[in-house]
Amino acid sequence: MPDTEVAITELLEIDPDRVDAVSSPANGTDWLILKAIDDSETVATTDEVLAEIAEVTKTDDRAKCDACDGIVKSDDVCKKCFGSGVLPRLGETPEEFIAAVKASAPSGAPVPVRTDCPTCVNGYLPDDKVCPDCDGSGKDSTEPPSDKLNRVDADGHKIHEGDAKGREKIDKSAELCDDDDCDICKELFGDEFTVEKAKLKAKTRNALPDSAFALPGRRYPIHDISHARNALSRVAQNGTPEEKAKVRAAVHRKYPEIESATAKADGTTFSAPNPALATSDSTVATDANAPGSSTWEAQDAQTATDAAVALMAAAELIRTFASREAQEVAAGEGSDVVDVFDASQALCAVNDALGVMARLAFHEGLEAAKSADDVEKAGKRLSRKSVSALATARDHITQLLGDDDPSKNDDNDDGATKSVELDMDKLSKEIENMEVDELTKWADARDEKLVGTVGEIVAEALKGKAAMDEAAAVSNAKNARNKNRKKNPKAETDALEDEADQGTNDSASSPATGAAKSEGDEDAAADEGTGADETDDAAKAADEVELTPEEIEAKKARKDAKKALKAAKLAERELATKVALTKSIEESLAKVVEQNEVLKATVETLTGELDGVKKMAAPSTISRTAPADAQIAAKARDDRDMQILALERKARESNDPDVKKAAREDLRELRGAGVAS
Amino acid sequence: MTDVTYRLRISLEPDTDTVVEKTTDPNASEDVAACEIFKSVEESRVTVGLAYPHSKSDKGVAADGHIDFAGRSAVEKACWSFTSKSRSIGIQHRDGTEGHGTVVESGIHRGPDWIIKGDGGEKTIVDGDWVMAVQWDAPTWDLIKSKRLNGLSPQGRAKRGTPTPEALASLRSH
Repeated sequence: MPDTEVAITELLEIDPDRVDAVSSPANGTDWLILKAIDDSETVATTDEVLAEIAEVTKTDDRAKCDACDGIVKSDDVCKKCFGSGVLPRLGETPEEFIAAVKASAPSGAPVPVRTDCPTCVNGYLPDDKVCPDCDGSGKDSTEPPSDKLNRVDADGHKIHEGDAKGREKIDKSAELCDDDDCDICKELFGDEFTVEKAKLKAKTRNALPDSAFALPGRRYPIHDISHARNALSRVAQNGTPEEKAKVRAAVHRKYPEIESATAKADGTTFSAPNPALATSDSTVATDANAPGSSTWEAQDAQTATDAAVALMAAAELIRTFASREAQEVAAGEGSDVVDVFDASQALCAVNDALGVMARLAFHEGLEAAKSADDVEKAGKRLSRKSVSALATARDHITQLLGDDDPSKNDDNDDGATKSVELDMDKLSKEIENMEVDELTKWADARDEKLVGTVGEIVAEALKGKAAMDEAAAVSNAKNARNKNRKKNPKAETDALEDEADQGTNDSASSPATGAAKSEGDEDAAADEGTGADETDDAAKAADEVELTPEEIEAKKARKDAKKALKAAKLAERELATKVALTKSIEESLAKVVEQNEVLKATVETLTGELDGVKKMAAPSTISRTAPADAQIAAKARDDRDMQILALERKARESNDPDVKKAAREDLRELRGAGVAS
Repeated sequence: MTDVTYRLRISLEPDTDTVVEKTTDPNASEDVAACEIFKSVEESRVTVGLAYPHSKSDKGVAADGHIDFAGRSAVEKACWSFTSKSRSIGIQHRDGTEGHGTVVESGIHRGPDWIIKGDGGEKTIVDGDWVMAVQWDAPTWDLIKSKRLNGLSPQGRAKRGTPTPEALASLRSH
């Protein structure tokens, strides 16, 4: 057998003396398991580890936050420790953690403790020298005495102190401050805040003199400016007109600064003029112009109308821009197609905005008009002038954008708005429900539509350019003819005489000639598109009446050139088609060749495998033990062993000495035969 | 004595499982709260390996130029013979290397397929394969951990025959 051939043989009987650890086991299987841990030692289960960890972390000491290291560097609350400086315990949800930290702080909230060095930044001074206060640690090592930790002096509150672990303690004997929405008081008193506040109010109120109230019967206390503002707000909501006037008078008398401030109806003041309202003509000075009043609505309507008009102007400008860009495209600047597309999109956006603003203007005007008729809104009415202006604005908008009067619909006042919103909702849902393929198709259709729109614009521009070119050609031809006339009047006269003769000799030939002449013009018109029809007609008329031989020659040459151009383009297209076809054939051929190679390789592999199977099926020439012999020998040995076992049992268990003796003799014979074989 | 690090990983996200894992990477994940418990235990130096699979041809060619395989009954008898008589463990089939390992388990796998996923891929132990667990002494264990000894290989006498077509057909590939 050649050395390269390897025979697969079966081990029929194996008698291993030992098993060795080897670097490359013949069975190809490496260690299944390496048991590095002794089972007799403690191997913690998940539950055991969890229990152990829970025990370890049971103490109050929480790990310092590794994000902020317990140091609040800025006013931003750390997302890991929520400003507490400590980390949640294992298994603790954020909610549980916050609740636990709150519980640990009597104030009810995590208390950020600034422990960074106030002298330096991260241990270094601005001149890169190590901070002498913290010795470069960046932490404030000069802790205050433990009895003064976390000392907080809040307005109107008693001092809050903390323990050495930074937990805040608040003196419960503190009194409420005057602020109704004081967060510290709420934390301090918790659920009892409202009751305590009421008690304080009653106590304070009883101590006030009668002069501290705006109205008789000790109503509307105005003993301080906050209560004065509160009184203005309350009376504006609940008071009668008389009460409003009296309270306003009392407040303004006692606190003139409130009057000087720009007051709103609810008594609050603007801290500064709103820049967003800077361009507005209206001033919010009186209740007549309060938000929601008819004047307010009218102003809104006017603002929205102005915005709509501005948007219309913008749309017109964009349209002009797009048109000019399209002309540039027609003139040969292909890159401007993108500008045309962008402009068309901007136009769409502006149109959308215009629709929204027009709708808003209409509805605002409607509300203002309603207030003007008989409905009081915020207690105020529109002036007739405003009503008239709004009606005009509404009519103008209606004329511009069509009738959007919801009263003409079956729906209520907001019907138009609702229908628009419903459409938008429906569209949004449809888009959400679309499959990816559908959405892709929809987007493709939209893109095709946009491309088509742009293409139409470009085509229109091209038509215009062709018409302009034709008109210029005719004009040039006329100029040339006039020059010829001036140079050679006799030839011109002869030509006219010849034409006259022709017309006299054969009157029927004139229409034929005209038709022949016009044939070329029709071709040209067909090439140049319908946009140049009028120009073509004028050119035809001029040609029929006044064409010179040079012009005819030139026209013929032009026609020939056009035909040649057409033929060249056709040939170019055919060439491109042929090239594409050739490329496709080459690609297909390459694929076939590749598949052929794969098939060849597969056939070779299969042939090799078949050879291997044949080889395995063939009887090995080096077999050392015939399988049949081995089986017969094994069977004989097994039978002999069974006989020996039976004789041994007989010799051992029988009571008859003769039988025992005979069995022993037989055993001896059998064993002797076994040794001999 | 070796330090084994148990890292408890508890995700702060709701509805996620808690995992206890052995790791030496202190930065396994930033999104988990971690706590470490150190335990010192002794290595047992035990390998579990495939001594001989049935109906599976050797991956390598034997010294006499053959590729062998053994049927189910032959492997079974070999296992019984070795376990009852010899239990000798050597290294690299060299004389004088006996005594560095002790057989602590040796038997025929009986039951459904045992699939072991490890770094070297997936290994499958099927019903009838001879599996052996050996406890090694420290020097040999170092050789095993350094991947210089990677598996088991029986040594002894055997009767070799030409396989029948049925036996060839029953050869498994894994």
